[in-house]
Amino acid sequence: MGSFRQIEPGRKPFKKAYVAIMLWFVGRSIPIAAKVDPGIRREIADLPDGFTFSLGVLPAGPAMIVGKDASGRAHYLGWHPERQKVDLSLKIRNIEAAIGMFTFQESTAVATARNRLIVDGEVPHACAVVRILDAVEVYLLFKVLARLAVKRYPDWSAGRILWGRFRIYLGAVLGF
Amino acid sequence: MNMPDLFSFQSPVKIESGRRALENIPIELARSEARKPLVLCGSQRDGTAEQFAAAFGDSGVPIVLYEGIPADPDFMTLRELWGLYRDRGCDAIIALGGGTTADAAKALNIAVSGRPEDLEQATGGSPAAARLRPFFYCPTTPGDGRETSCFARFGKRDFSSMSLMPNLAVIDPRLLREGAPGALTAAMVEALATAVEARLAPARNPLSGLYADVVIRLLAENAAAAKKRAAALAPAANALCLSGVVLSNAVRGPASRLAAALSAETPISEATALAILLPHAAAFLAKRHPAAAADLLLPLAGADAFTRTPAGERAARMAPQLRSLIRNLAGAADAPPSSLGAAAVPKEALPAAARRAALDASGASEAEGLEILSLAWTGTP
Repeated sequence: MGSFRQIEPGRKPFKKAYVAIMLWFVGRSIPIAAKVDPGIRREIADLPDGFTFSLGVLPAGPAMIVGKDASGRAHYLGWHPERQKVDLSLKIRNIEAAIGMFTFQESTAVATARNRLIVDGEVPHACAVVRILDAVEVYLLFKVLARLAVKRYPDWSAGRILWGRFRIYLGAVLGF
Repeated sequence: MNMPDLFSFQSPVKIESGRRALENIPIELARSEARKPLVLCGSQRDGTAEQFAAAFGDSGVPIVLYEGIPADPDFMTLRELWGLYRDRGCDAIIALGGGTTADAAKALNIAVSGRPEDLEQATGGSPAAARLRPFFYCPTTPGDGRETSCFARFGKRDFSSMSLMPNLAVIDPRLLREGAPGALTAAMVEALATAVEARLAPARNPLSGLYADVVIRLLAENAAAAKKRAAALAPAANALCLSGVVLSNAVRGPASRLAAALSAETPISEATALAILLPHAAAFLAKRHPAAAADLLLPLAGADAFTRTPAGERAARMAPQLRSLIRNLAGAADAPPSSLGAAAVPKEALPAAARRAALDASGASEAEGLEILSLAWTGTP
């Protein structure tokens, strides 16, 4: 005769908090990056007006939502995707996969190739969002980390990256 | 590619394989509309169950873990599991282990999808319930490929139904163990035999053939790694998983049937008999189907060796290549004897084994079976 036990799922509060902070920071950085970088501005401009997208972790978050208003400007819309209409939802399949991505063990492209992301929405829009995230990561991270996080590190001048990084950090922290 | 006039192929098995694959189980359960799985595992205390349970962290999915599936589970065990499944409100089954655990999980799935009596009253064949509960399989020790197949054995009863195949197989390197001495070699040879015989079967199925090619390539390309056993675990687990799908869509060939018959008639183990018999049976089948045998050299030897071999010699090179691959997979420790004679199989037992295998309708007659056995007894290539 064997034995049985019911095991309740444990919690991973530190990992969840780390991913939540990363998502919050990236979400707040995107609107600033759209002002600073012409490439990101173009990507945002090509998205439909009123378009919103979310990036979150299954099954219950954390998440971030970014939207584009009628005037074409991007806004960080918080961390509750269930409270608003979302046109494109990028869901990371579990917290461990999110940790892998946000500790730069896996780039977004590699994580997608390994089926760690579920995309609910139009694929061209998803590709645009991944390009935006890649560009934002180049600004946010030092080169040694950004090379791990993005598919291809861009050939931008040091001045462009450093000035953009200063503007984005300032804007994301202070909220302007 | 030659298209047969008629073929069918079915594989409901989704495979999640690789780093952190375990953590995907909760979302796959949600997709199957299951909220609380009953997890069956053996009685080993090597941390496997704890590692498995930790993968559910932050998922919100509780699990009911049953440890101690016996090597030969009976109806009493099944009734206990059925009661546990019902009383704890489970709605899916996960087998965490090898062949015995997978067989018990399949039998339990028949019981919980209908009534336990369904299994007790069944004399084998297809289960009464056509739609079974979600069933996932996570290998930890090498099995024989039947785990992902449409076959299940419970006691002396054999069941066969496509609905018995797992909905998901999760191969996570963190869980894989070498198992008992010789088990890994036996598992790899079993997977190889299933794939080779599917490729050389009279009624070849093009889709089974593709799966079989992947099985052979996984084993052949990782044969060098097989010397470092830990490095061979993941490729072997993937090959076994796919070989179950091949097995479900193909007829067992003469090597498998003769090995089973020989182990029933003599003290030789089925795994050793299969390792000796497979190249001889393949050479026999190559004479009947030279084009298929020539094609088989490609996954066995790789593209470079295949293109270097003149087209007219490929069929003849297949069996020696297969023999060499089996030796590489086995390594020095588990190397099979060179012949059935060297394995101390009495020559007088061969006719009875050939008769027993022919009764199983292997596609090879008793005389042909005896011819293969005789060649394998002397070790004549």
